[in-house]
Amino acid sequence: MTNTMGIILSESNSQVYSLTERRAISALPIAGRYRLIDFVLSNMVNSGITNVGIVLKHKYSSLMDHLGSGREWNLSRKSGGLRVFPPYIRRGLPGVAEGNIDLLASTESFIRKSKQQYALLSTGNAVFNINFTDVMDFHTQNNAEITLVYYEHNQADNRILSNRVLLEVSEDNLVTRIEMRPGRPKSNNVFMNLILLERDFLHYLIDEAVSVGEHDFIRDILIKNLSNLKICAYKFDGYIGCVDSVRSYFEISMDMLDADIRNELFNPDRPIYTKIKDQVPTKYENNASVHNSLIADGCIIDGEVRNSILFRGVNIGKGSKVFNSIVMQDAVIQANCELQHCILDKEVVVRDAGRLIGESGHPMILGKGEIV
Amino acid sequence: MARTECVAMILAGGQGSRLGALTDEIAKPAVPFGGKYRIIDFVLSNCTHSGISTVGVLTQYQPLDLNAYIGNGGSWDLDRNNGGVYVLPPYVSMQENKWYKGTANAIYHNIPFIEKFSPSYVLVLSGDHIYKMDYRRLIRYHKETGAAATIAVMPVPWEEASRFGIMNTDDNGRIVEFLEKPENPISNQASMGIYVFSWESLREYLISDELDSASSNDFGKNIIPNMLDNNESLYAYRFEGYWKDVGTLHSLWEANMDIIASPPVFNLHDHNWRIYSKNPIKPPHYISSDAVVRNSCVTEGCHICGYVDKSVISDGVTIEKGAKVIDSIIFPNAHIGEGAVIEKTIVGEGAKVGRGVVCGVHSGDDNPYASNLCTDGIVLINGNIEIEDGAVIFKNSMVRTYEKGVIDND
Repeated sequence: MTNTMGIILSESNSQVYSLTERRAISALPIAGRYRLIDFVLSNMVNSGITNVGIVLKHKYSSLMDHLGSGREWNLSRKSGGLRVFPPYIRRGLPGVAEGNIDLLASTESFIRKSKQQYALLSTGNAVFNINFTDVMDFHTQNNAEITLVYYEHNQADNRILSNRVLLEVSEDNLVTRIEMRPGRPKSNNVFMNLILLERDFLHYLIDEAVSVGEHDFIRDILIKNLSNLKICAYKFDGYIGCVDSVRSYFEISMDMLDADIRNELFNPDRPIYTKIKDQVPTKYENNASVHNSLIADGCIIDGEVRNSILFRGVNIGKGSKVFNSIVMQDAVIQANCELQHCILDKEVVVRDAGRLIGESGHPMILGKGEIV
Repeated sequence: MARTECVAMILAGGQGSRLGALTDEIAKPAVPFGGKYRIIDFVLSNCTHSGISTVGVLTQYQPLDLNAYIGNGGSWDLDRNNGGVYVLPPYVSMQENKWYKGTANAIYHNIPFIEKFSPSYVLVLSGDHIYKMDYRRLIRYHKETGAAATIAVMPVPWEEASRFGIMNTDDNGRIVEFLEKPENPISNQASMGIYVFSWESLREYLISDELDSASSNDFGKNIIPNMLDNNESLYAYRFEGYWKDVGTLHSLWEANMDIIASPPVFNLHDHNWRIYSKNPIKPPHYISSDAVVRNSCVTEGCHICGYVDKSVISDGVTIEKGAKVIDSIIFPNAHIGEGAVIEKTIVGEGAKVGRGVVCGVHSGDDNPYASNLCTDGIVLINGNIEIEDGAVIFKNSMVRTYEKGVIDND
């Protein structure tokens, strides 16, 4: 798919509360050593895409730091490679983008000057492993003008469906109706915020939309043109975890303890790349007792850990118990602490005998660098 | 080429024959160590942290893996637009077509490489030592004394002194005598095989040594004694810290155990002196509900369901339910089958140990795999071989190839 450029829109989402207070949702740490954006970015690279632009809305410094030159994703290239677009003020456009059309418009010259025939648009908040060449094959076989990627949500869970964009798809793969966060969902095909189309056509659509002051790609471009464009839908059958709330973040994190999901996501033929930290292997001390947990490098564990995820460089002191929790990078849990249903952001310190008990479904969240 | 004050030359061509099957197909500096490293990572990381960014790696024996591993040097921050890391294998020239005859000869053949950088000093290092050292201090000492050569030394136990090259110094640290493996040592200051030379002086000695057909072209045997004979000023730089030459299977095993001891004898959890390596692209490791892991280190991509104690587990290793791994080193991507018991064993890369295999637990007189390289009860299972279910491997075995049914499991 070297003939396709990738564009990732990193939008912010206030639903993940303090975890996204200082970072874009795509910069959210997940699965012990990754950030959410690593998944879609690695998928693009593994599908042969070598020209990727990442458009940042605000709170972008942690993402810029994470991505660097793009070397870890093999995107430090002479031609193409990784382009990061921090928000900037441009004549004719407001400083802070209102919608995704404004974000795309801010990269107008990048889209115009790229040489690839196709463009793949995505957000950066999903955990999945997909081969985009399958989507491309589908797109050309169906002679589609636009292809949207969706998955079938298998529970009739209105709580989730009413919060998503849903697609009604005909037998010949045509999108016949699009529901935006419907109160009473009719379909359970959830749009994955993945759009494939020709680059020239994208440029034309954005130009047109901006000229009439439109902001939202789904509402103002897709829904309005449903009857006069050939919009097809490709169904993705693999595991998909879309982070849009603390609850979904917690659930998706815990999904990583399932060997089947882990083996699918971290398929050695399509690896997920991330920033390398050169951490040492994790050290298990004499009192360590770890069960059903995912542990990154650089930890020192002398306590008990169950059903939990430890990021790089976490310290668990003697006599401490960490159950059903997510502990991010460089957090320190001193001796004789007890943690249940907690999410500890980076560099949190829990001092001796600290006790933090959250509820199942409502984890207790400690912000970056807090000391308890 | 811009002038470079100091060029490091890493001798990485040794065969490492005392490591047995581990070095059948790879050079010793490429042997895995400490869960996610290769032996050469230590010296390369030391160079990077010491601000030495022009590094030549002299390869000769089985260089393929080592070359691929070093790549463009990016893993150690040695992908520079001026300098960086260069892999220097022997090559054919108009005048001659020769392998590196000795350590000094290897440097001699690369005089043109070194000259490109017009250095004042050349640091000669060995690619098979485990240690953390700030070479800036060694070089500063070399400049202060104005020596022609400075040799890093460290005290070794007196009873072992006769196994090393021993430096006898005067009160100022100037070397008055150098004895290779002396029977009755009068000092316990052993050479660590780390030298810094003033380049102009070294170049002359290398050229004259090459003309001497009786010379074995070795730093310890020829260059250093010749310099002493000519009354050059040679100084000993005392290093205090951890240093280990992992030349034998037992010393390799010991050095691995040194990093998992509590507190560690050799501490790798050091943010100021990280050891860089080519990181595997693998997810964090998973410890199952059935597993017990303690006094050990485990790294990315592992899947542990068994019992692990006092062991070093490298990336991508699977240890099945009911398996016991004790006092052992498991190299990358090995698989330990259900119920297997592995003690004091080095399991090679990608080896597959079958269910219920018992390895390194029992002694037997009639051991078809007995090897005098495997001392102190150590067992070595070669990489990429398969040990059949239920097999028993005795202590002190080296299993290069395994044939089914060779051992009855009684």
